[in-house]
Amino acid sequence: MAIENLPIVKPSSPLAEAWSAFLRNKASVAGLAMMALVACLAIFGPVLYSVDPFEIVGAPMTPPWTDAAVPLGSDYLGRDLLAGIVHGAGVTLFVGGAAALMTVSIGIFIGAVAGFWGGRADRWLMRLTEFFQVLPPLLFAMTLVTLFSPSIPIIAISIGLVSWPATARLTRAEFLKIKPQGYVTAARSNGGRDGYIMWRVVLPNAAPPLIVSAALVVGMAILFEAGLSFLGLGDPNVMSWGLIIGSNREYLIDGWWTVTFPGLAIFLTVLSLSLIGDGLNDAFSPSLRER
Amino acid sequence: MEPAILKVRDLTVDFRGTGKILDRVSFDLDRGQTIGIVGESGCGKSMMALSIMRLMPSLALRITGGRVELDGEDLLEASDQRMREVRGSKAAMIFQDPMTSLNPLYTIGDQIAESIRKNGQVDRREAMAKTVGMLKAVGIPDPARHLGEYPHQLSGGKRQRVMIAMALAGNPDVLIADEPTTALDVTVQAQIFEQLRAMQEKSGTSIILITHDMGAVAEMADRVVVMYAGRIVEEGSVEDILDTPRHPYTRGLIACIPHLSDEPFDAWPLLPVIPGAVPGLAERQAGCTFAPRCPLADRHCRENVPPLVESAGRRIACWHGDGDSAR
Amino acid sequence: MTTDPTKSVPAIRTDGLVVEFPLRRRLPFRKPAVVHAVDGVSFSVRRGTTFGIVGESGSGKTTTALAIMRLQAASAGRIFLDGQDITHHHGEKLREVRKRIQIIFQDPYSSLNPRRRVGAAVREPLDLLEVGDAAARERTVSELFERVGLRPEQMMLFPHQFSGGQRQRVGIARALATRPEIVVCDEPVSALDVAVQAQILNLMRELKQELGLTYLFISHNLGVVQRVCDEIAVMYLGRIVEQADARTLFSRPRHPYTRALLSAVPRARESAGRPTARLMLAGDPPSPVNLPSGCRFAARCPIAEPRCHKEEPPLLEQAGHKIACHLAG
Repeated sequence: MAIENLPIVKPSSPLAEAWSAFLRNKASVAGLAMMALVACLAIFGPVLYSVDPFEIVGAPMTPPWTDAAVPLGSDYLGRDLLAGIVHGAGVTLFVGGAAALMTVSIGIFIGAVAGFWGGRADRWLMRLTEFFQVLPPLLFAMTLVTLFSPSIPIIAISIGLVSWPATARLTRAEFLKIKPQGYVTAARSNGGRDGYIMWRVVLPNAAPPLIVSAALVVGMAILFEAGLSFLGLGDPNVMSWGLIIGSNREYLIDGWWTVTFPGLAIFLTVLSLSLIGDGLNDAFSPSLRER
Repeated sequence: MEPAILKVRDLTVDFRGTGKILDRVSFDLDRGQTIGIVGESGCGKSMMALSIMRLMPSLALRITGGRVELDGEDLLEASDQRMREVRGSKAAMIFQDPMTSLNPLYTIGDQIAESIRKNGQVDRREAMAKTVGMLKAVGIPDPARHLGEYPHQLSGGKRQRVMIAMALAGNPDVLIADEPTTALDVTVQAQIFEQLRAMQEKSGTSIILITHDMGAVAEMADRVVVMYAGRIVEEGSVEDILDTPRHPYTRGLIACIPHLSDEPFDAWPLLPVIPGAVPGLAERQAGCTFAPRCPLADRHCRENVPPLVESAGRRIACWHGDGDSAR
Repeated sequence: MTTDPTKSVPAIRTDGLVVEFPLRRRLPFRKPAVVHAVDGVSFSVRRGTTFGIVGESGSGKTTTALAIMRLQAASAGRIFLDGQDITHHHGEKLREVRKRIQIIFQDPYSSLNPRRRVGAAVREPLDLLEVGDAAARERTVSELFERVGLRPEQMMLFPHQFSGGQRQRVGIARALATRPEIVVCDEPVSALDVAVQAQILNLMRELKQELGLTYLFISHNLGVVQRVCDEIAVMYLGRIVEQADARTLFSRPRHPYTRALLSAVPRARESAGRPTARLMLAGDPPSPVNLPSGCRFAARCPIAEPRCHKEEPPLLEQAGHKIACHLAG
């Protein structure tokens, strides 16, 4: 039997190729860099700049760059804005991450089961998805927060509970698309049970759009939390960027810095997540590679 | 009047510096004739069709040389505006998969009518009447009933007929059919070929049939062009090519295609093969591109590209020009 | 592999196989329409032979193959593997069966998991069906790669790094991993370039001889089927309309559909005569949802008579040649 005369090439996984494509995209790398900065701020910031954001360290409503004790100015109580931003980074990222984790976990599980099993399971799960989808997200989150306590975990959970339907639909669509593929039938023909096929064969191939979606969900969750805090439903004991904006909203006219700086922080963080999400989308897309 | 309605000369298409998808391809298409272009994947036959129609699928593919003269006019020099006029009225194309070539959101009646109106100043009623006529002409029974149907409601064979109707609605001089029946059942394929032949007889359209199926070529074509890795390796009348193929690739291709035989087989026979596979764009070597797989190749072949030589109405690009004889 | 003293037990046998798919209900309280993909198919395949099933789209040939492999639930009928009724096997018993019958898929581009290395893809059946230990499995995969004409060093590569023909070789290696007795080949070369088709068919021939395989060969390409198959069944709309050994079917086809099929194949040489003048079929195949009464082929049949539209012809056998037709039977 003639052996194919082929030069030996190095293995190149679809993931590795997507990663190189991602790195070639300047916008995505910029987004990644910004995100890394925010993460560093969250981790190292409070250690390097240990001013307590709740402590009153200066005169109320001090403009930025005038008083060394409050470099970015102070809020209506005289609390240090910079400390608020530094300490708020971690909170914001935590809420965003936790909510996204919940969204993605619930969404993928429900979407996968619905898409893979079809039939009655699919119908019922889709009704459930639609129910949660038509809930007005803000009202529902507000209700939960009011019923239980406005603590960070409750906020993360309520954001997760209203955001998962979109991920579920996306997952279901991907599963429906991938299930008829030959390699899935092959896995079954090779003795694979449902669990193996769903999680070890289909899901890894369904992952790219889900990963993109996850990046965007983090951004959405951050904005959501900021919104809740702005409305006064945030956790008053934990300094988050949304809380700074919210607690200073009546003083906006007199102190632009109280809202602008935290707002800028939120904007840049969400922007970086969007750039990453976009970049991932492009990196995963060239189906020329997968074909 | 010149016999050739279409003259392609030295058409070259480059893929973003990686290599040439088409390398100085030249051939003539005479009026009322059908020419079959055969080759395996990667030979450039589809790209040739798209180049003639100036429908390059991506910016990475650029026509870097040659002339495409349709009825005396060089299409490669034509403006975008002029090409839009040409498409449909002078040259039309049908594709392999009618499901993705027809717009799923519009009825077939609308799509054909639009094609008709684009190519002439007719009002809606007249266009609809012509549409019914076209549907009848392509062999769809009870055409008025189908006007309001959407592509997904039709079978594959009917969809392909609709594509043909759209293409021929403008009465083009040249019809390019890119693997028109590959996705269809063989009984439907026979119907489509019959239909195309009938329409060609009536309207005198010249047809370029792109396919990998030698049988289809035998049925439909007057002349055959065999392509390999972006170049023409052999050309001749369909009788010449099928009865006395000269180029080793053509011979290999005809030999290894399992055609329906009149002689029964006692057991599963060993099939003749062309060893190896078609080289990708980046793997093409200097000299004759077929040399790595050719049983006759020698050092001269591997170092020098054989020119396309004409003799007695045939062309062949092979250093061993007469097939067996040494150079 | 069990050594069977009675060679007469067929490798595969189906008995009245029926596969139906309900369509989505249009209205809540009506019974949903049903696609009769396979509607009463019975045949046997002798061990060590190649049995072909030909038909066009909608014939049910692929569904039949998937039902035999228990990858598609059968609505009625029975399936026998080596004389053993596997129709209702589940769990462990079914997994044992899966070691003995494997499948090669049509599309080399979608039959391999893009995220998995090809070596892992070939090893998957061994892992899932728990054949041998880890070292033995690696050895088997390595040997399989060589046997199908690839190099063991290529085990670490991903599917997209191979050409279509090479991917199909990987698919064949995977199908042979558990040393099956029977391999179902679902259009194994239809998606490949013509020159590569010949290479793959030669490989399959060699493997069959070396390993004593039985092939169930599904195809619409009659030229390939003529060379490869010992016995052939022609399916139309879920039923077998003609069945005979290859020599007989191609030289003396009797059912009008078979004759139309054979005459529709474009001939590469005009000099090659056709068995009959071209038999043109009118119209398109009707849908497998609303089956016509009487013979399913009657609507397109060039020789149909009124009786054909009323009465469905049974599949009758005459000297090893089965045919379902009132007029040609």
